Amino acid sequence: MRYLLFVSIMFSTLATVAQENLILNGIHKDSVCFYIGFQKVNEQFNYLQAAQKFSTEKAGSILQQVELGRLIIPANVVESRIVEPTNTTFLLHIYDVDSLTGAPGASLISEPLEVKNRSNPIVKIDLRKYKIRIPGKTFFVSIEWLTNSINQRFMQLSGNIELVPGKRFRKTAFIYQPFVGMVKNKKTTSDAWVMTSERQWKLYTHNMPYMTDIAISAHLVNN
Amino acid sequence: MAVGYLPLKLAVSDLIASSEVYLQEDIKTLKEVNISDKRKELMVRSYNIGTHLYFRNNGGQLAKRFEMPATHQYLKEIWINRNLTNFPFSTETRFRINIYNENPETKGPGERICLDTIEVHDLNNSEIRVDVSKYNISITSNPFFVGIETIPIPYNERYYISRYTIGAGSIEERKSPEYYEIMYQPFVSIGRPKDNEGWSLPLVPGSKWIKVNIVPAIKIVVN
Repeated sequence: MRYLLFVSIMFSTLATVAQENLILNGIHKDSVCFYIGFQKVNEQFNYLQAAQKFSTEKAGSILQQVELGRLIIPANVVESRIVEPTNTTFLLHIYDVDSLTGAPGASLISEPLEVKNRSNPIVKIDLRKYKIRIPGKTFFVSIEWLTNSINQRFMQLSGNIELVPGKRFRKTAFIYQPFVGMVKNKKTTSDAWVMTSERQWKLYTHNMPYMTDIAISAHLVNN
Repeated sequence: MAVGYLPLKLAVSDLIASSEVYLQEDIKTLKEVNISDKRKELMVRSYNIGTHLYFRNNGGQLAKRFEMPATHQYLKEIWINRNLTNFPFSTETRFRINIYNENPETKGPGERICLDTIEVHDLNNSEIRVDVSKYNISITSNPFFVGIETIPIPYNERYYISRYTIGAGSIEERKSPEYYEIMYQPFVSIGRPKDNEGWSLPLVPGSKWIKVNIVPAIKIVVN
């Protein structure tokens, strides 16, 4: 009896230590209603990457899974008999924090992971086999757009232009899948970062106070 | 007989004794009188929603012309009908209402009559009734205009793919390539205008009011 009690307590303790799972910036399909990546009247979107900052209470967590919210326009929005091509390929980066600037710093993976997705509004990326350990308490998950023909889409802008005498053409812009979601959390500061075309990181506050975070969640486990 | 006093009978000998007469107040004759300038409320115009008409709200303002009846003066309520069907995204919206007098040159909206910001927040109503009585909006000259101002914030942003364009004889022609478009809530229902009834102010900076062949589904209650 004494032996059984000891085994029981030991297993209970081990289970508590091993199963400390943590989800940061949790998202679900209905919580993501706003997306970035579009050219608008008040914003020229020409960023290379978009990163979400995460903070944990303990250092040394292992990143097991990342989830990304992306725009999939349902076929019933338009009088459609053709499903819009939603397939996309993008790169996933994991960064440590730059202790000087607070921006994304050194990469925590040897090379970015290529992610392919066909039509999921929530893209789940299993990272368990990479055993990515977060050295500190702050890290970033970033997506990098691949500006290739697979991802390229067109956006209709307001107004038109006379390119050929007597012929006016609608203004359009190239945009690239995936169109990443943003969410509003109960805070007053942004944790969204973007990389400019000069490869400089900057805090993304364009959609504040309405949207505070990129729709990327991180699933961690603490040992 | 003195109004408001009880009858008093006197003998002639009483008047000889003293020329002073004292009358007792009759409170029963002092009836309460209600004084009010409230006029009978009147609904002006109807929604006039056209069948098979769909408004892709790209931002800016859309206004409808009204005539205040000669028997009335104040704007009490503004009713707006919007299209909630076939949109998978959130129906929540914030928008503004502006009241304009007529620009004598363009015959369209001119100066704002009510300088207060009338901002409306609605979750999921297809008919939005806005009580504006607290603004004491007095219409002293006809015609006047009620404008719906779309606020181009992330909160209102929605997405669309243009697949078809309307060709000659209303024949749908496939667009190539397909275009993404940004739309904004509210998706106000529309109808076909009469004369100079429907006006639009595009979102693009520096735009002027232009006469359009659609009119927003607005009706008003006046008193």
